[in-house]
Amino acid sequence: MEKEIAIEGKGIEVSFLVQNQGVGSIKQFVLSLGRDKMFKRKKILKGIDITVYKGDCVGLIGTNGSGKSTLLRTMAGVIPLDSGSINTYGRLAPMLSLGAGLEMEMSGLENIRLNCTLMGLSQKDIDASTQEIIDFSELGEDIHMQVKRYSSGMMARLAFSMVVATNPDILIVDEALSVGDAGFRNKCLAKIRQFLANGTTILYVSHRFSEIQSICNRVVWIKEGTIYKEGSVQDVGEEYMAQFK
Amino acid sequence: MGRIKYYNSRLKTYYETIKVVAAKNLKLRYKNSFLGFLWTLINPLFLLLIFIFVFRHVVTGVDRYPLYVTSGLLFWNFFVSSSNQIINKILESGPILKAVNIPPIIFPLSSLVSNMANLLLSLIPFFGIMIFYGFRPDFSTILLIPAIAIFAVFTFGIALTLCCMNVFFRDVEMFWTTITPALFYATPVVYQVPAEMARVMLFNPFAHFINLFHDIIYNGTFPDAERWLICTALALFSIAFGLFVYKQLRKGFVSNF
Repeated sequence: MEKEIAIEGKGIEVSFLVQNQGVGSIKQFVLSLGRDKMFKRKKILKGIDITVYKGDCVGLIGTNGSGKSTLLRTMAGVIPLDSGSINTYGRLAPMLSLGAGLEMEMSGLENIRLNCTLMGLSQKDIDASTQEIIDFSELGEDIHMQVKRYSSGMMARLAFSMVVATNPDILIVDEALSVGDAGFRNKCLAKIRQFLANGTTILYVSHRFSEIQSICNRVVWIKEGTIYKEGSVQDVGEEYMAQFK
Repeated sequence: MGRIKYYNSRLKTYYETIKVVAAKNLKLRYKNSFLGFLWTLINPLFLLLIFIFVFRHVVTGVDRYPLYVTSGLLFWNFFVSSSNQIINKILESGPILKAVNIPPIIFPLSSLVSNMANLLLSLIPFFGIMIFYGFRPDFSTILLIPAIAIFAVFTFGIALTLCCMNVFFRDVEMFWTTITPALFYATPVVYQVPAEMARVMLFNPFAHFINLFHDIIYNGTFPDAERWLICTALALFSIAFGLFVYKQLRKGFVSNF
């Protein structure tokens, strides 16, 4: 049986236009008589082909700066491609920086409406899911409090509950679980396992290889902007852990 | 060029998103303030009083001076506060744009919508004030609707351009707050154009719009076709330029948040 594709990326190339250190304004550019370049192009992803099948749980590993987070964000549609293509089949929910869309001055409840709209839910869906979100977050009456009074753990709970409610076909998680208490982390992992059981595709980036080992069925190792190795958790895992000894 | 395609995904209703974000803008603006929404009215009203009581001694020979000032000032204020708010919108929304896939233009657009809502709401009390100073609503008054619409498009084109550039150069915001008072005095909002300056004034795009509003409210007439044409052309040029700049600079946004 042909396996269905969830995300297909071909020849992905991504670079960042970074402002040169020290040339922070037009003034400096002019003063240096144009010699100081204002921007320089930094290539992060240098041609990546990646196919994620429906129901897969793919873990992305690599050192800091290898490009794994950039790859994740590119696949989430947040970073534009220089060249190459990405085809996504199904609804994608990113968990990239929990709480990015939260408005501090507004209550948790108002934020649910705001954030879910930003994530693409219709007003009807939001009305239907609001109670579910409140229940999952376990925030109770605090949902009416201004978010600026929330602890970071509470914010993480709220954000996570909202993404979960969008019922995605594809979930992209970038070390988002590093915020929050142990109880929250366990709840998240349990929910992710539940998603997997339902056939949701998951892309997961984490520095904790133990987490990747526990839920992923495939691992892709990114090194300096290209895929260094990919395969099952055992194959790639051995070599990966070995480099730290 | 790389493209990202989405299949079977729910079509994002931009309309709903803009509505929700615009509502948020309005709510937030006055959330912790005591007078709340009233400030939208107090601010122009206060300025109005200064101009009416102080400047009427500086600017002489203008019939029904208070009405003249009000009819222009209200819309000039819309332009300045919209552009000032919009200019930072994309940069401000950096964290969200790095986490969720939304077209960045949603944020400046929502800001424009909330500012237009503010303008329309403030027109209610200001109509009263203008009537007090001699404004007689007429058939031509309905022309305010297309006039405001065209002016909003013009405003957005400029604001969007500044907003995009501000992502890369924070100077732009400073530049704009510095230059707007100069633009104000270069535009016949609180004075009438003396005959010698008439030709030069043609080169000020803002003058054309302010005069459009003067025609409708102060003169109570239908602005002539030439005026409409110039304003429409200016608006179209402005939005085209703004969208062009947005398209070109958009790719570099994420790197600069």
